Amino acid sequence: MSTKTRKLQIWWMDDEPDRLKNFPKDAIQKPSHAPKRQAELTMVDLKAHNSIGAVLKLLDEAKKKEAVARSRSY
Amino acid sequence: MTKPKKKKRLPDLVVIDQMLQLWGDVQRGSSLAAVIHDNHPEIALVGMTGDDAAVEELQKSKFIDFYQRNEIATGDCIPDLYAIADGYETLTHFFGSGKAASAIPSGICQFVKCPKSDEDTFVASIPGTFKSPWDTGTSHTFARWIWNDLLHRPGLLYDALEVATLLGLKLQGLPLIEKHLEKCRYSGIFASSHGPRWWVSLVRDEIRKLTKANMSQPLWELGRTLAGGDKHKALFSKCHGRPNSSEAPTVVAFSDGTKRTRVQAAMADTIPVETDSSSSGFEQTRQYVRS
Repeated sequence: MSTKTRKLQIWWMDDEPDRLKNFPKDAIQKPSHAPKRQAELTMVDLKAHNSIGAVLKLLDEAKKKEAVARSRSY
Repeated sequence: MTKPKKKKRLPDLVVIDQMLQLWGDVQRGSSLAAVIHDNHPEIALVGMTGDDAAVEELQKSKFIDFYQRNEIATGDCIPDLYAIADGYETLTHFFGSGKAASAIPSGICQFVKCPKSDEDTFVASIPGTFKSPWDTGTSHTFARWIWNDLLHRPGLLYDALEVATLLGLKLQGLPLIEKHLEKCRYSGIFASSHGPRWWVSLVRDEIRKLTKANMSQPLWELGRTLAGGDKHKALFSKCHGRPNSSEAPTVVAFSDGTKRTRVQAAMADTIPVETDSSSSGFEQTRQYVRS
């Protein structure tokens, strides 16, 4: 898929649930200087994971799902 | 809040807080970044903190760039995140296929859309390690070089304050002539609308062409003419620390050792920043010292 049309996936990893909750998500989705670009922001509360390994597992799972979705689209 | 477990795609970019109170101890975001990079080198990594001064350079090197938290929260730096995510993806795809060493310099020139006239200088400025076949870690270090050196150090490219200084104007005066410089604007990999850059050689050529000037006329004079001359005199640049001088500033320098604020200054009132090593293709960073 073209970089120009695909929605960017941005993950925000933090240990402060309040900060994650209060972040102005709209700001990341429609930056005024790049109106044609879109991004989706995912907040990752690191406190909900008990180790670096658990955070990596989250990424590994996303990668597996992406590979499955890609193979289905072919 | 979007739940990560529903995500069906790897992130293009991860923003990580540097100071983390986790798992019964203080953890560094840079340590997490290093582990993510080792396992998923295709992800661009950006750091953030509430106190930039407390983060050491070695820790910052785990990220392509490092931001104050409020710079992101206000939305000002969001175009940078887009530019880093898109640029990093382009790099990892191109070099992931194992390019021959001989094809790398020309490939990099294409990525940055380097003007023909600057190609030799640009290729000479690329550190040798990036001209050999890349391994999985090279995308990150090269992205850091493009972002922090090519785009953020004066050399082949200038930012708005540097261009304004070159053309004899205050930063607020640049919009008077910016439309003439559209063709000179950097539009290569990692270009961000948050901090536009211009190819200096193209700016020089374009200003001389537009004003039909000969090579002996200084650019600051031509810039002021193109901006409308004396009717916009209030927007002409002034040497920092010399309020009564009519001399045009020739350099952008840090106002003091904290390196937080930059000013337009006379070269004679500045010295090179000691900690900044000069390298091919780039100008030495300077600091204002006149008392």
